Amino acid sequence: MSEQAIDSARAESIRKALGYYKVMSIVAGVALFILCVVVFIHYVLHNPKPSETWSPIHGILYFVYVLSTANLGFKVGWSLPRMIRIMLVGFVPVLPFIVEPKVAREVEGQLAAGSLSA
Amino acid sequence: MLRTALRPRWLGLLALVVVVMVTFTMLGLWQLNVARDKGRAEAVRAAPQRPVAALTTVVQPQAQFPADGSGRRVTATGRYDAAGQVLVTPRLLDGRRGYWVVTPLVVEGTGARLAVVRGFVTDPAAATRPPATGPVMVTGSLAPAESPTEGAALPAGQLGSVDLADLVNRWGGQIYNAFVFATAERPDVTTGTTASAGIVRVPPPPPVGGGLALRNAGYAVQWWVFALFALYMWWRMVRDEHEREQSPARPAPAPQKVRKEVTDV
Repeated sequence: MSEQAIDSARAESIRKALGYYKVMSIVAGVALFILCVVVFIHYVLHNPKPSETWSPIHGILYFVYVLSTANLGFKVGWSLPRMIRIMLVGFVPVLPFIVEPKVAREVEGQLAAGSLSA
Repeated sequence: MLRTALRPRWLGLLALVVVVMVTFTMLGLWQLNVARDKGRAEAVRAAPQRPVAALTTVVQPQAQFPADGSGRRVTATGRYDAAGQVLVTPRLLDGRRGYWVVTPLVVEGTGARLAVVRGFVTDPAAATRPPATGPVMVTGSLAPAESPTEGAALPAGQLGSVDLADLVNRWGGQIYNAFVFATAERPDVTTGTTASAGIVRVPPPPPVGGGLALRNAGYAVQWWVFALFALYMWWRMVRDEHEREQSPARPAPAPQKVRKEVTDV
């Protein structure tokens, strides 16, 4: 297998990981938004039922988001603090929607410049 | 790979990972306890609302105590075998030390004996035996057998616990692996007559066991999953560095940079 083939395979796997991360970032952002709504319903409107249903689902979706972040981070070569920071973004309302395009643009730029697959 | 893992910076990071794992494991245990407490509270809350069932549909003679039987309200019809009455001591009721009055009920239909806690007395002499009248319908709360106790020998006719293995030897025949805290009898042969006015009913204890509150059980599992994930992250970073060293073709990040990042965490 030539160097070129390895590099294009790596770029392909990074592209896949990025797609996975982008989807999970949006899913986690939406799940967090719904969580805020059900927490409001729980503590302000005193109805714990929606939060009982949604909280565990949010937990699972957040974990999948963390997996997708690690998957991308390891392939791109992010530092551990950066990976942890991006994982924690999933805990801050609205932030996933801001960070996701930035990360996507950065990784796509690196792919285009060949600085990852060189 | 092992040699990579044993380098000081990876060992240091592993120590951090272990701290995270221990913390997450404990948080998971805490949530598991919350799940148990909530499940028990739910069982306590639901117990009086569950319909009263006939004893014969809940538990069979000599058979295992049903998993959801604790605190179950049941009715049993039969005749008291007054000769088999025993006292269980020491027991407390409202801070007073005394005796549980336990009388076997020969259950109609099966002929097996059911231990019935008819009430509580402070003086053994007050524990009059039920009159040999017709059938009695007992309503009460079901409980699993108590463990045998050891200790100083008690006077004849007294036991340290509702130990059904001991009782079956005294009573003979078949026995139910359960006992009942009587809350009512029809006719009331225990508190309804002046002859036995010294006996007071024992309020059934809250049921033991109960299920898990699913939401908190889910949180517990999630904490443990994250604990394992922290370990996976560490292993994956070690493996990546190991692989970079094995294939020099791929550009490795400067080692000092990695060290700086590790101390950043």
